[in-house]
Amino acid sequence: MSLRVCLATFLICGLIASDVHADEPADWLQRMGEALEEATFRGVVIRQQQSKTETFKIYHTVRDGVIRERLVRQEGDGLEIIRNGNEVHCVIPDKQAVLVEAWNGQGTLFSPIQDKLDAIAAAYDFQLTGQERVAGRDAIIVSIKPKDEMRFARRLWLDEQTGFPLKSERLDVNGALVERIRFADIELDAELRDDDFASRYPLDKFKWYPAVEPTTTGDEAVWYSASLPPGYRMESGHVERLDRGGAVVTHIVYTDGLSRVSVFIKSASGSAATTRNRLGNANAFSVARGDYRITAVGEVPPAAVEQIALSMQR
Amino acid sequence: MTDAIKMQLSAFVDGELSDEESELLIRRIGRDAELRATVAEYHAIGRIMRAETAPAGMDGLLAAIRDGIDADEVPLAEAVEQPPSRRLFKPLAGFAVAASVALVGVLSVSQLTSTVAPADVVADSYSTPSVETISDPELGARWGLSDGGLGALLTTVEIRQQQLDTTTDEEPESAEDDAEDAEE
Repeated sequence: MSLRVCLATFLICGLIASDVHADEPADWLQRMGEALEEATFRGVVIRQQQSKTETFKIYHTVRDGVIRERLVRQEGDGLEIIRNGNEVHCVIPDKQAVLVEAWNGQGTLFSPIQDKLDAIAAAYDFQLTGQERVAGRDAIIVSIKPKDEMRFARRLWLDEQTGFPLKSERLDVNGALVERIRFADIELDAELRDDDFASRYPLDKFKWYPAVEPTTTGDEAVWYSASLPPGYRMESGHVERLDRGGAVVTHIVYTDGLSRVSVFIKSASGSAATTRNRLGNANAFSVARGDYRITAVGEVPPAAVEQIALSMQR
Repeated sequence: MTDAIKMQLSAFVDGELSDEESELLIRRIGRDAELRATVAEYHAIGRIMRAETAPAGMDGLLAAIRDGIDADEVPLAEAVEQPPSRRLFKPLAGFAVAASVALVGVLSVSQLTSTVAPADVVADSYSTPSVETISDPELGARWGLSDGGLGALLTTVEIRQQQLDTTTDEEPESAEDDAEDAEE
């Protein structure tokens, strides 16, 4: 066999191997993360919950690692969300108000997860489950199925060419839709101008409300969960003052890599009632424990916030 | 959902489905939650494409149902400006929209597509849900910012708006100072 034939055989085998490799769900999630990190696009996004559908126009770019983004709600109050890094200005035209908020650095629509795949694989199974067309582009479907009922299932429709997520779904333990985010139209690598990220309203005439940023007290969180659902681990924990009134709260965040639960513990007197609430897609569970009230909130099934809240000890 | 149903749905939303097919599809929508969700999506896409201007088939249908107009009354069609949509409403009169299964289905669609108050942003299956009912709204807002994601941020904005509505003694910062920040 000549060297040329050997080389050709080697290259062909390599191509086949790389194709097989690219068919692994984890590889698609890797590609998704890479596509998100540098993405510049404009599009129309439809967000659907159980009882609500809303549509946003979105402009997004990343410059020097800093996300710049503008979302405009197309119905109702016409809310504009203008993001520059972790600072978010929420423009409410009806009220002529701008709420300034400090963001946590997560993606607005989708977050890269390639660095957490090992942790996520402990709690979820990944599968490629088909192909579909979304926003006029061919997409491959990655299903992320939880191994227990302590987290939501997800499905991602990733652009076959780039790995960019065109659609995502969150499903509850019964398979019912919790949230669907989907591009109806998207222009990847769009040429965006500074003007695309500027409000359409005369903000100098609006009332500005500064962020109510929590300040940490420097104290360590002494509370812990004695019985976390499998796969969850502590992501952060500290004591903070939530507002100018000075309410001191222990805030611990648990995550399984995909889902996240915040636990708040504050001293409280008064009602000893146990409450279960909804906050958008999130479930909340609040219980009195001695002189404290423990509240767990997260976009997870009710059973998960309940178990975590009830397991807190000091 | 098959492609055939999707095509049919698309034609229905555009007001281009035949009378008989419309009738059958509406019955099916009443029975099929996934189909209702898809109708809502198509409807939202349609609004974007039309830039929120002319009401097409679904708009008129939903408006009419919401207004509780009797199916036999012709004014139903008058709410619709586009000729194809007129075709859509005639069969409704014929087979009595009041037929409960269809009506329930279509009403569900109207709930999906309408702008909802906070109290409506809830699932029926879980407690007494709404942003308003959390015992400590500040915790809800803090959760939203620490969790990340559009849904969490929108929840925070909703809570903050409610706080603005109820707080009268909070003075906002001067517009000029912050406007300069916004320009950065």
